[in-house]
Amino acid sequence: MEKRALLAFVLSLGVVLLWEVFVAPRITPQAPVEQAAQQEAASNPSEEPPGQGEASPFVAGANNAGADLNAIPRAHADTQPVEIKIWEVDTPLYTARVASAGARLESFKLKKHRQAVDPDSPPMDLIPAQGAGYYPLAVDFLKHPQWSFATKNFESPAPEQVRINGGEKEAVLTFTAEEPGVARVTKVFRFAADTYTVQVDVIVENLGTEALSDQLGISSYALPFDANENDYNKAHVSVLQNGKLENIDRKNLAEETPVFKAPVQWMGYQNNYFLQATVPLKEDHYQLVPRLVDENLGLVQMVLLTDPFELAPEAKAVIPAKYYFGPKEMDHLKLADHNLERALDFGWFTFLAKPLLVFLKWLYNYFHNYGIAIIILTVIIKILFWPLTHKSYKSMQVMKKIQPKMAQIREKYKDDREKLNQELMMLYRTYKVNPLGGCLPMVLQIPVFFALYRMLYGAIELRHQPFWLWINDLTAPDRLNVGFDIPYLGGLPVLTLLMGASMFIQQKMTPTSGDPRQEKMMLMMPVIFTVFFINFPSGLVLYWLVNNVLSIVQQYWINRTA
Amino acid sequence: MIKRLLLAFVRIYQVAVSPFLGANCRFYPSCSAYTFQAIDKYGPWHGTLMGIKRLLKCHPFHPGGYDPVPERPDHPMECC
Repeated sequence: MEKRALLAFVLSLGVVLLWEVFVAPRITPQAPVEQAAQQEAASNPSEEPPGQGEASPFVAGANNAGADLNAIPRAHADTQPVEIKIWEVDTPLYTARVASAGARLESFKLKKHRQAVDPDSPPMDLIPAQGAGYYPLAVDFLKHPQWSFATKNFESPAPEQVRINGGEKEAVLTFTAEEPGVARVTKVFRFAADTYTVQVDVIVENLGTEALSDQLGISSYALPFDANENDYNKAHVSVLQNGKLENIDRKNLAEETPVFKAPVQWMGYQNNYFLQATVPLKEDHYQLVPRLVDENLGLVQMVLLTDPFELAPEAKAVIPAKYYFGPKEMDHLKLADHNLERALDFGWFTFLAKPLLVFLKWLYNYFHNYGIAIIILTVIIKILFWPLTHKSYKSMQVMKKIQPKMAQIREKYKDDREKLNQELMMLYRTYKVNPLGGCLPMVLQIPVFFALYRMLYGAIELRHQPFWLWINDLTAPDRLNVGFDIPYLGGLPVLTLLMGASMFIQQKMTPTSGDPRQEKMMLMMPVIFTVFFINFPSGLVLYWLVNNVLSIVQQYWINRTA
Repeated sequence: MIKRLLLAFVRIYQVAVSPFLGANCRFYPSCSAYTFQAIDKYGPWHGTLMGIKRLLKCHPFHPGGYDPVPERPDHPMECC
């Protein structure tokens, strides 16, 4: 019997894990958008007066999805090394550096987030560390690659050090480069003090005497944000289109490069904690293409590809877009607008997880420790469920009194489970007791637990947040360094072991239904849970431990008063 | 088809999820067994509704007890 029980547990553990992998909504494969020619009701560009940026220069009737993706270069390395000038923009949230070569972002260092727990660890940099070939915001003329605007030296009248803080709202830096007598590209960067979004308007001017027809690709690059990422926190591409969020993992991206036709709210590369997103500011005449450049590194190129356009001499075209380089903090995503908040996805129970996170943040404002905040949140949830659990705990006391009668019935019908259960239920009814709390309270608690689980796993607010003693990161498994290396674990999971112990005590205190088979299974539970929780974030272990301790206190109190 | 899918779903819950949650149900047969039988007997639509109704009754303020799926009544929805 024990063997079978054990087998049942192992199997169910497997199913739960599989469920987490397959059913838990993290990454859904996305079929590439089918390319279809689209007729456009655009005006004839040759009739537009010159110099008007807002007039649509996009070619009427052009096959706007027929772009050859191979025409977009995968990397933009400098062929001839040139003296590169750097403009540095310093805000309360980040330090961004723009390189004169292509007027591309060379680095974007977050001031409030480090790469590792260690306080001396370098700040998070959202620009790929793969060198100048992969600096974001590279502009390519697909029909005139020889102009190489992606790497050309841009000039700017702006000072090389720009500092903005709460006082000034934004800093505007304008960069220009031109191919003499042919074309000029102007990039207008708008950095703001209080948000992680940067607006970049790309302006193309025809300096020639003949119409300029071309197609523009603006490439952004991103790497996985965590050097050693695990399966629970893998960077993937997300696209928000028509209010629907599509997640595309790298494996799917490696097989096929999808094309998303306008309008798209945003496209980004994200893990649980960070997001790099492109937000087109136009309704039409572009498509977004996420392309995997290096599968091993997880390096992704995100291209804002315009439709083919034709610019009359002296005419201009403006391609405005916003770029988000930052943490997935709820407040900042909200501030960034454009539905970037949708990037914060805690799965099915997001509707519960977000209010819980808001509440946790509110508690943090008072206690300045997310560990304490989790404990208080647990106490409050326990109090909310108190009336339900209390009533069932009380009836357990009456159960003790009718225990002899139950034993009688058990003896009488020991060979007929059906009849046994029926008779037991009759007995409960006669004495108006019931040892069990019912399915509804349990079913109601499951979403709360799952919401907490997903939230504690995925909220950047908890990243690198200490609790107490050895727990220096509530999103990491708890490991106490005991001076020597423990195989597979590295340290002692003290909190997890305490959690298992608390569960064991709780079960010892709870009167059982008297079914010996079930009792044995219940005693296995602390062991199963300890193993299950060993790699969970310590914040979640803390929640479960406190929950158990509170149950023990409740049980103890009832045992005394009964 | 839908019926078999739902039945499989209940079965998976019974095998994979229920052991983790421990015994909770105040009724015999338990809510999941009741739902299984109800779907089997009265089809996916009525069976599921009956199961939900039963789940909503299964809380500490209801006495619980022996509550089998009724034999086919004239109006399945008025059975419980």
